[in-house]
Amino acid sequence: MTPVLLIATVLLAIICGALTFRRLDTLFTERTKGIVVSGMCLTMAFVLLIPPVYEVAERLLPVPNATDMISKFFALVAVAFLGGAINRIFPSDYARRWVSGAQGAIALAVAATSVFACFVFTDAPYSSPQLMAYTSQASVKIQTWLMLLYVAYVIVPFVVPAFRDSRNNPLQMGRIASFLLAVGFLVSCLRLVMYPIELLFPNLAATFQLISNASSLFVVLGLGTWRYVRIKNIADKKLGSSILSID
Amino acid sequence: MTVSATELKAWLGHFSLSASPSALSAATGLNRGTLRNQLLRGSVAEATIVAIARTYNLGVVRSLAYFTPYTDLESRPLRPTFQEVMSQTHLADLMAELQSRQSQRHYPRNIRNGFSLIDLPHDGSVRSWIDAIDPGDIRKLMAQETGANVAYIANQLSENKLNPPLALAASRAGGVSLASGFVVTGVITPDEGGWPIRAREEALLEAPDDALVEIIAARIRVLQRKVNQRKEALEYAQKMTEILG
Repeated sequence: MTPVLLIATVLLAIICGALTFRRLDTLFTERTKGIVVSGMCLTMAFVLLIPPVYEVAERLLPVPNATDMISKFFALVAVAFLGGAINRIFPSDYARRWVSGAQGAIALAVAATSVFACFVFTDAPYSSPQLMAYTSQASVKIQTWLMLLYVAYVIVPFVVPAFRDSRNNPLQMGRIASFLLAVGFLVSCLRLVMYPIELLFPNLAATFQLISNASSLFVVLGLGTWRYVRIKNIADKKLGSSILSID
Repeated sequence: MTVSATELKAWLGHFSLSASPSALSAATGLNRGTLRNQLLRGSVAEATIVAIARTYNLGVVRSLAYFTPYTDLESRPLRPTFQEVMSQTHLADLMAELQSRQSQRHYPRNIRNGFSLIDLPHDGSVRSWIDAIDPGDIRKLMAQETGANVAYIANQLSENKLNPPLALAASRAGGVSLASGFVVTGVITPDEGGWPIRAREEALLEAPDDALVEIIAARIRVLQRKVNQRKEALEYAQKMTEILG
């Protein structure tokens, strides 16, 4: 893992963890539980990739780099829950049919199984977070592609609605939050589209991974902004007052 | 649209006034940098002409009529129509008049003595004016005259404004005083635009019951739409914060 990728991973783990921690109280009581579960899984996914944590986990697990596999499972579940929550905001026929419910669960199971199969076929005898030491192997390339494919599969129906909301949301902070989400979604989808180009530069795998980290950061900050809107009760303050007064 | 800086200099020269930004700024209180930029660019905002005309008592409408886009500004009688005046009266003032007519005992008219009517332009007043003078296709006629997009005109109206060329085009299309558009958009005052003093107060008192009630009903419908839009916006924002916040 390169120093820049390490810093990015630690930073994301801290930001994601901090923002999720502030939501923990709503886990069993409110409609945000999808976001909370997603935040917890994403935090775990990043925390497990931090080298000291990775090393400790590796000692506890029987197979080398099983920690990376678990991290990827957490990431997949995080994306699935995020898709379910966003689907309630920007509903679409595609999302309702393929992202949420039984079809969504099947898609998650298929993605997780495929990623696991790739892991089984990877020859990775030594610990390497995100399998960065083995990016030249075909199974790792396919595994990365599957991860990108699943993320894009879940969030692609929300890219346009999120951008539309970033222009039309009645709250200024809401527009900012939706813009951050939209950029995060778009960058994730673009990375999948550009993946064939990445394959031409196997030595730059860590650099390309930063793109996914950046997209995660945008999404996490977008959700954090929505949390701020809620904590500060901005919706009621801005839109709850009477519009009849001209004083 | 703006007027030509060359014309401005000629106009100022006609009255032996200095065209230097410093002198104009000192006299009118306008920002010197803004004036300098307008003169350097060669295009001067209508508001600048109005400010200079006010400062030197040159007659605002007559001064604007000196400049090419507005030469026919005084070609029609300046006095506004009854519909125009009523369109510039706020719903709260209309309701107060309705209440007074319904019960002088509970809502005596003299209770408002000392209170002036709500100043224009007020929320939605520009659209009300357009609706009051619309012969049926006013937006299309405005678009044809100015080259502006109809969607742009709708956007301007939703923001309760019209730029001077559109205001002039609307006046022309509506067959009313060409200065009316400048009055309702706040470029010039009603007094400067040739509106009689207390025109709105008198129109309110003289309005027949049916006209008054019809205007109020139309305004209430607009207000109802706004309130519903606000309610929907609040519900949408609350739903988003509940799920994502």
